[in-house]
Amino acid sequence: MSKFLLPFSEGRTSRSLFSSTGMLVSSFFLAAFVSIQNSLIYVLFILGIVVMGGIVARTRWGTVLSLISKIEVIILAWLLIIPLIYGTTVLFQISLPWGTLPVFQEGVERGLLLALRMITIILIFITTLSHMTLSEFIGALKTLQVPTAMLGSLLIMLRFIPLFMEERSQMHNAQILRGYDLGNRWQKIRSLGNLVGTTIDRAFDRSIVVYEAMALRGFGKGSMISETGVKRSDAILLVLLAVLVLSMLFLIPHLELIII
Amino acid sequence: MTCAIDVSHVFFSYDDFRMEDVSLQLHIGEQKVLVGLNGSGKTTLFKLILGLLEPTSGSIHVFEREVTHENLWEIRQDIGFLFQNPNDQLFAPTVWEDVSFGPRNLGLSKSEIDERVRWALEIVDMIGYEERPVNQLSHGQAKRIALAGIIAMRPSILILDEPFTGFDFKMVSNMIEIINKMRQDGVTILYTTHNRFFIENWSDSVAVIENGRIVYDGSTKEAMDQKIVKDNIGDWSGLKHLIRSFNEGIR
Ligand SMILES: Nc1ncnc2c1ncn2[C@@H]1O[C@H](COP(=O)(O)OP(=O)(O)O)[C@@H](O)[C@H]1O
Ligand SMILES: [Mg+2]
Repeated sequence: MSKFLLPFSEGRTSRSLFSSTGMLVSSFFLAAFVSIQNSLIYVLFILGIVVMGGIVARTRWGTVLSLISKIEVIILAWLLIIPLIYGTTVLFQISLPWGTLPVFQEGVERGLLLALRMITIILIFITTLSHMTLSEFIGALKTLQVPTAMLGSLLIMLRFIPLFMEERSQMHNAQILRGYDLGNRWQKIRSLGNLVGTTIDRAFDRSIVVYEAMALRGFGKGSMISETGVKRSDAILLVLLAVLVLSMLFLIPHLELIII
Repeated sequence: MTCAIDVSHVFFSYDDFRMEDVSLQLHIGEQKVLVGLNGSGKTTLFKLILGLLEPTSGSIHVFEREVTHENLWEIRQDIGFLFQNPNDQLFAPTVWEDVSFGPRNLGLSKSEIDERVRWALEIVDMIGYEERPVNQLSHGQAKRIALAGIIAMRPSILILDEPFTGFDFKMVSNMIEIINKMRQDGVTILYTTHNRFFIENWSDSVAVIENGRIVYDGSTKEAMDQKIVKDNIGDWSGLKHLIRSFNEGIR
């Protein structure tokens, strides 16, 4: 299991064509572009492009997909809730003991669009991050003038949230070894509550100590991770983005015509 | 003689712990062991020296510069601090990234950074582990990588908080070899241990801290006869008697 929340290509100094800054900025623009698309076909088209881009760049899909699968619940929730609250055209009704629940057609379409947009945006970011190391990522944020204090918190979060999760599961194992399963439901809930409390407590202490360790080795004082800067080849990314946007404008209306 | 570390009449307090009138000097090249029971304030004293905590009164000088907010980074470049728990110290994804963290902050060139990292990993005998995620290291390996991360910054002073805990015999001798190499280069060393063997055989001088006060400070030779030193190192033969009499009670 990856101990990091984000899918960085650990250790390997990536020899990618583009600078991490360029990749990050492009993915940001692409994501913004996706977020303003109101047609399912457009979003699907971009999703296809992203997947193709990933295949060309030899993305490690295993890592990417396992991370996406962790948030599928949230996406599913959108997909299920929006049809119940948005729209006017009733598609059908679900009868429940205490009344009927209308499902709106606009809601279904909108939920689908939002979910697809979200998946696409998340895929864009995770795929991009999987092509850089942690220090390249931090370096890119530095190039983009993100303040050091924020970078520090980010570093600690990235390193320690997974560590906390592991610690939590270890403490839970310790509970099991001391008879957790024998307790009644209420006792179990209490033990789990304690677990969460303790984990957060420790997390807090831990992050202070780690910040001290980072400060002792010059975090925030020295030059830290150097800015990664931009590469000339980043221009290619710009061109690709422009081509994508233009193709969306010209190509897809024709596609729609053909389909219809 | 100039001091590497000069702690002078330092006061400090946590909610329920007070450090009172602590003074301590380390000469350049000296190796001092700080002895004290758990909770006596050893780690707290180290944090004061490193400027992680601020004394309520008194002063601390490192190579004749007072530890203040303005020169923290200068002073921290001179001192390498090995935490008691290596996991508190390692935070980068891989060994290479972690060891190179300090040198990068020193603003060295890429080739200098590479050279420093290789040099440090060679000293701690961990060449070949560069790509290894830091959370996949054993306790001994993690401690050595933590040490590598410190010596890669080439400090003139090393402060080691219980460097041997959890080590087997081989790891201990390895660690001593590493530190001795640093000593040969004139590095000043301050460390803590609970083990009488190291105190007796691996220090120039001994300081004893008891409830936040320095109660003894002198050469190792003289220290070993002092009652106050013996009391704080503890008498393990007393423990032997305790166990014997208990075992006889069972029979
Ligand atoms: N962050 C803290 N907040 C409050 N009290 C602390 C903190 N850290 C240590 N202490 C207290 O200070 C005393 C000395 O701790 P410490 O310096 O870690 O001792 P040692 O390293 O000698 O075992 C202990 O009583 C401890 O409980
Ligand atoms: Mg301690």
